[in-house]
Amino acid sequence: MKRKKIAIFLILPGLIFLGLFFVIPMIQLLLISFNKFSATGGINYDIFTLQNYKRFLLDTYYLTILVRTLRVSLITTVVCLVLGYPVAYYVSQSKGRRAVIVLLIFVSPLLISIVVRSYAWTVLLTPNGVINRLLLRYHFINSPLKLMWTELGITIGMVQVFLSLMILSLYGSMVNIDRTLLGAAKNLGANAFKAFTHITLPLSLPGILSGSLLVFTISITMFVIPALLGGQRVKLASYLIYENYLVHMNWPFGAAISFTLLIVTLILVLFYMKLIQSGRWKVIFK
Amino acid sequence: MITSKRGLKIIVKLPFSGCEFKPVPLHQDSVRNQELIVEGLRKAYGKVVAVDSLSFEVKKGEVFGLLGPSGCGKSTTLKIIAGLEEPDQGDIFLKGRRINDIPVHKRQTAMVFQNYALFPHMTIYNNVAFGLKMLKVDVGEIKKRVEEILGLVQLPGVGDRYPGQLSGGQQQRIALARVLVLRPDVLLLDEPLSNLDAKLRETMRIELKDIQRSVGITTIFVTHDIQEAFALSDRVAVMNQGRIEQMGPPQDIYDSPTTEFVATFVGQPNFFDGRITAFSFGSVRFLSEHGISFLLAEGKALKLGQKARLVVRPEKISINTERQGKDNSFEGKVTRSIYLGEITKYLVDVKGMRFLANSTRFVPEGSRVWAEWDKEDNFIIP
Repeated sequence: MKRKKIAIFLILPGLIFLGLFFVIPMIQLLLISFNKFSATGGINYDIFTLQNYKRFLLDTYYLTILVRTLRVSLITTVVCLVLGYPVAYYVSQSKGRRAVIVLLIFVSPLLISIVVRSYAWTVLLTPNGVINRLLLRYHFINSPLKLMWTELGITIGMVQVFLSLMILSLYGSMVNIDRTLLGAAKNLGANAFKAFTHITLPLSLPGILSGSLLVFTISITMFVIPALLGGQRVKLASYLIYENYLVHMNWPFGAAISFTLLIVTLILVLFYMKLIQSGRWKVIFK
Repeated sequence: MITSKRGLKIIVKLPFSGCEFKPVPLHQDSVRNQELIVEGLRKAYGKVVAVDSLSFEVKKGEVFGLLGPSGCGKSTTLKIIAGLEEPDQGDIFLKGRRINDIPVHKRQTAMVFQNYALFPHMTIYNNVAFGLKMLKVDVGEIKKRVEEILGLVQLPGVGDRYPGQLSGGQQQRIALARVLVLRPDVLLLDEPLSNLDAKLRETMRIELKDIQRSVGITTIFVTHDIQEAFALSDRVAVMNQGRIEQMGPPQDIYDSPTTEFVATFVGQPNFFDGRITAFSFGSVRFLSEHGISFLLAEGKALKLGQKARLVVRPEKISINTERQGKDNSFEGKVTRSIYLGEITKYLVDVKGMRFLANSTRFVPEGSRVWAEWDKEDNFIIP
């Protein structure tokens, strides 16, 4: 009993901090999202309305942005998975220094600020940028490719940022796979491909799922890259929130968009939790 | 046959007798009689030689134990036979056919891993059926054979469970069932009982032997546990530093070890240094450095005046307060007496010569006793 009291006492400072600076603002945000806003009168705290949510989810213009956000996030996740899996597999199978070096190479981008990396991408991707100039000079193309301010550009930037996270997540689950299992599978008549599909792939599923969840949920709310590589021309939800808060000063609408994204993320997390607790997968996820 | 080779070695006095094992020339006959032949195997990891000039033959239906301390190369040998490791040199013949170049998944050698290596994400049924599925056996046939083999290992009805839900002993049996269901030519067991607790190990030892007998499969297994090796094997090869020190039936290994390593590894014997002083009436006389004379049975090629080591195992020495009149009979004092219930361990002092003795009889410390053993119970190693 005494230990419990001490434990509560020790976590209290953290709880107070989170309560003051996270929970209360979130509740405020939620309340504001149901308030009315007019360009002339500002926020009217007395009116409770679902208008903001209706506007975001029913207006085709905003719906397009929501769908685009989900699409970009999904493509980013899939591309990260496809690119990251072989790397993580290779690292998990190699030993000692080589594994460390390869892992470091792929994780090193995390050491550079996302803002810096995003600006670097603009240098590469603009119509007059490095990539287009090279391609034009060697006559691979006749006119500059549209890379900046496109979904493609945003996706390229996002993949570059999230690949490291995906690799770390995949590596974490792969490195724990008992290698004698592969030996056993081969001994029982499985060739390398069958051993992979029957043993390695299913056993790395925790990494695949948690990595995908991580990349997808962060992609949805990612701001810097969509803002710099997409900007006003290809808006994603996060840019829309920024615009409503800081340009239009329409806090209720911005809050409504924020909460819609939060709910999408929560649904995914709940779905993931449910999945890993269901009978078949519980065995793998322990 | 092996002892005769050893005898030769005693004369030439080689420090490591194991290196004298030359690959046996392959006659068509021996190929036909032997299920598995390993010839001149060598495997090095960098500068560390794990297995060196290793040769042995295993008959059909025989249980062959590779016994040795950890790092002696026994597991590597097993992996090479299974095809999980490639040898640097040497050949492996299975049923007269060289299998070096057959990839692991096509070899008829089934391996049970030390940690069982059951697939944690598959049910027991799918674990056992895995090999048959790889062979694309018909579903009905798979079902029949899996049920049959689960019955054989006395675990019917666990098909729906996952490996994590079974006890260690059950997992062991499933691992066995998973390879036996494929009806392989050779069964390879890597430390099969080392992951079980002491009590269960004894039960599983008997069960394993029963299963092996009922299937009649040629078995090679690796262990560092002497009792396990002796209880399960028809023949044992004692390995040390990548080489075979001695090979033969368990009784031969225990009763007449040919090297000090084998003598020490399979027991805790007493050694007495000295020389051969006389041959008379089928006996050999040996004088120890302490000036004590021993009698031993004539056997191997021994020379008069030859320096040698006499070995006698503690449990061969009888401890009595009255003289029994055995071939070697010494009066001495019990300096230590450790009561262990089943037996009592003694440290006996005879004119400054100290040795260990085990006896079922209890005598307190300080007693005057007769320590005795027959001439057949001690032997000479070079």
